[in-house]
Amino acid sequence: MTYEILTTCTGCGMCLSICPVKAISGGPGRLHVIDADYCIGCGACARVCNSSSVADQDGNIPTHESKRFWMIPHFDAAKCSFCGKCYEMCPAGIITRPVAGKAPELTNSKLCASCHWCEKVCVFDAVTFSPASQGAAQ
Amino acid sequence: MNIALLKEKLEALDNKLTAEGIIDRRSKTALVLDLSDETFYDWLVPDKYLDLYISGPALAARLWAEFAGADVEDKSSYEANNPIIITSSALSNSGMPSSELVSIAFRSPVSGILCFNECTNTVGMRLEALGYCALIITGRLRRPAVIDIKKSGVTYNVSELFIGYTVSQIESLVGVGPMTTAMSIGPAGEQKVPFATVVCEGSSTGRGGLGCLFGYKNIKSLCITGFDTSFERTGCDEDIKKAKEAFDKVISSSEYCRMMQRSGSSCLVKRSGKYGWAPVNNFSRRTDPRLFHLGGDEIRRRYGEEHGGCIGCPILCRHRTTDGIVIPGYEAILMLGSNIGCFDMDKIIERYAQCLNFGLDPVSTGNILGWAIQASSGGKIVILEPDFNFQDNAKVLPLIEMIARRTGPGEPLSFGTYALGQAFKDSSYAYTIRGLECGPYDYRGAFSQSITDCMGLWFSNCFEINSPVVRRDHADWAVLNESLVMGLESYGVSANLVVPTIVDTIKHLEKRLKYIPKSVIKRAKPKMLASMISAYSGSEILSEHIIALGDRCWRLIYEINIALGFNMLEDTAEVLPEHFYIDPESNHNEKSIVPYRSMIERYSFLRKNTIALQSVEPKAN
Repeated sequence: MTYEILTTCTGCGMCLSICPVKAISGGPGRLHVIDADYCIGCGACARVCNSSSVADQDGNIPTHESKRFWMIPHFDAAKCSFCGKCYEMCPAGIITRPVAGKAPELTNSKLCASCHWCEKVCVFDAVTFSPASQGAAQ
Repeated sequence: MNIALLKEKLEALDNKLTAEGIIDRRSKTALVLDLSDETFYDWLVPDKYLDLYISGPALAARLWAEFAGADVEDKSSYEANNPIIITSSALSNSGMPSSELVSIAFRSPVSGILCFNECTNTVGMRLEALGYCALIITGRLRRPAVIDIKKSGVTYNVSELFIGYTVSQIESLVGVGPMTTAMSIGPAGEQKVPFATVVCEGSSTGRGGLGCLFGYKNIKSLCITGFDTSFERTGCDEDIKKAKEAFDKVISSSEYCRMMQRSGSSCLVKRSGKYGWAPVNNFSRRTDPRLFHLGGDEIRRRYGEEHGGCIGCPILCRHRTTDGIVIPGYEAILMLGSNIGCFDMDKIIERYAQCLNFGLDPVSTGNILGWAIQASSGGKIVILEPDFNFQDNAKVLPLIEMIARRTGPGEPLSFGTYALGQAFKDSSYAYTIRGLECGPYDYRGAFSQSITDCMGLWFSNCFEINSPVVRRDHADWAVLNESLVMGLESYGVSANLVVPTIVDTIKHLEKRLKYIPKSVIKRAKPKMLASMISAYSGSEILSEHIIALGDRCWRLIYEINIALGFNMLEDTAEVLPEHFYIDPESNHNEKSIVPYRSMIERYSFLRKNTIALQSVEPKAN
């Protein structure tokens, strides 16, 4: 799945700042462009876009979501095997390397694209997702 | 070899075989790289191949036969006509544990027969993200190049400036990271050292000389940029949850998995000494009390429990030091350690890193160093200086580099053990199987492993290695192991799950093996893994389907190897070095002679049955 920025783009730069792999380029007030080679299909750009200018490859335009309600990962130390796969595979590189007895953490939850990849690579079901606002409250 | 005849034969075989246990593949296209004219194109893999051979080694072997050039046997041009096939797992990105297996098939430049490398890394996952189920590399590049595969296409970047670069240097240049992976060779591959390997994500992709073939084809590095987080599971969530719960229960109660998680695959080192399959001092001895220093408990004490593993695998057999340095697996520990008389783990870790950095296979390198020690100690052969100390890494590490770069005393050693044995007209210390250095086992303690290796299949971890209880009916176990491993791997599942989910779940295993061993073989069925595959793929897969797929894969390899001049049932009489089945000297109290001939007879009988069963015409409904 890849995404494309439509010509209605206002050039606000929100997508550019959230893209975990820096696949988006463009200056302020200008049409932004996604490099399909590097797009990982997480859809963060589409969810963050205020002007609904990002469409997926089927032409669907996901609705805008406030970042407060984005799901971010939480790591359960009781289930974690400390193998470090989530740390190695995180496209944004914001997960800390786990050490024995200490589960990984997010270095900056604001940069999480909510791609759920850490959840997919964890075979020990140690990753659960909850809204960012809830995580902050915790 | 008449490749046209082989293709005809395989087509007839495909029509005769019945496809059962089919998985609907998400990607049905293969990316073909034609190196001769630096082009690429998409090739739709016929449904017949995907139905019969699913993925993994079976599909890789079938595609190899499809793309092999007519004059693959011609030494002068064989590298161009010898395709490299890389297949992803049918269950890649499905979320199923241990299902990110990548299979690589090619004609080994060392043994001359079809060779398989199985490894777990993100290559398959990335190929699937790009929409491909296989990568087919044909032809030969005119100049050394780095091949860059992305969604937008393939680029060939000339890399003559990077000649001589080590693996870590080339990886930092091509930008390996979460978005990109690379399969690279070091100086050893460039210099066509026969036991050169390809390194991917800090591990060797396997044995058989794939690095040498990359060198012949002028591929310095194969980079794949692809990542797709939007994959959705095809199976039913309820079934997946149920199957995963049962699987987790088995894994958490498995002593084998606990042992691996505690101390990595080095836990098998201690076992190798106990059961007499450790190669010590160039296979002259089978056990040594100093193996304790390389075993799991000692590793845990010295380096802690910092563990890791392959993507999606719950076994976590890859350990790290607290500084994040990877501790080698038991194969490399034995060959770079005990086989050359070194029992210091720090030194072995450095040697292992050196081998991988220069693109050498650690197992074969250990074998050739063992040969060098034994040959020079007799005073017959003078390659190294008389006071060369194999305990001293200040001497061994430069020697490894010299082997890879083919300079100084490393040059003669770089030709491999078999060539040296022939050159010096003394093969007594050269332990090879069809020209390829023996695996990290003294076969006098691992009988069924000897059969598998002599067939050129090179699966590590036969039952007797991982499960010490299983030490009977060796040919029967070898056949079962082959079918299980090839069946599971062809579905894309790692064979490391065989012990915890099959062997360990048989009740009263020890007693059964003692009194009714044949019943154990009948009971050793991958039921749990079949239900896991069914749940995650959404297709109904039975354990019989897995075994049948393994047998189909074996038959395919058998037919291809006949065309390559090796009959797996008839040309095996003198394949195993005499040392293992004639030399009675051993320092272990168990049987010291491999009953090779009787095992081969039994193996041939069982495999002829497989062929006969596959020849039965399917019943018309």
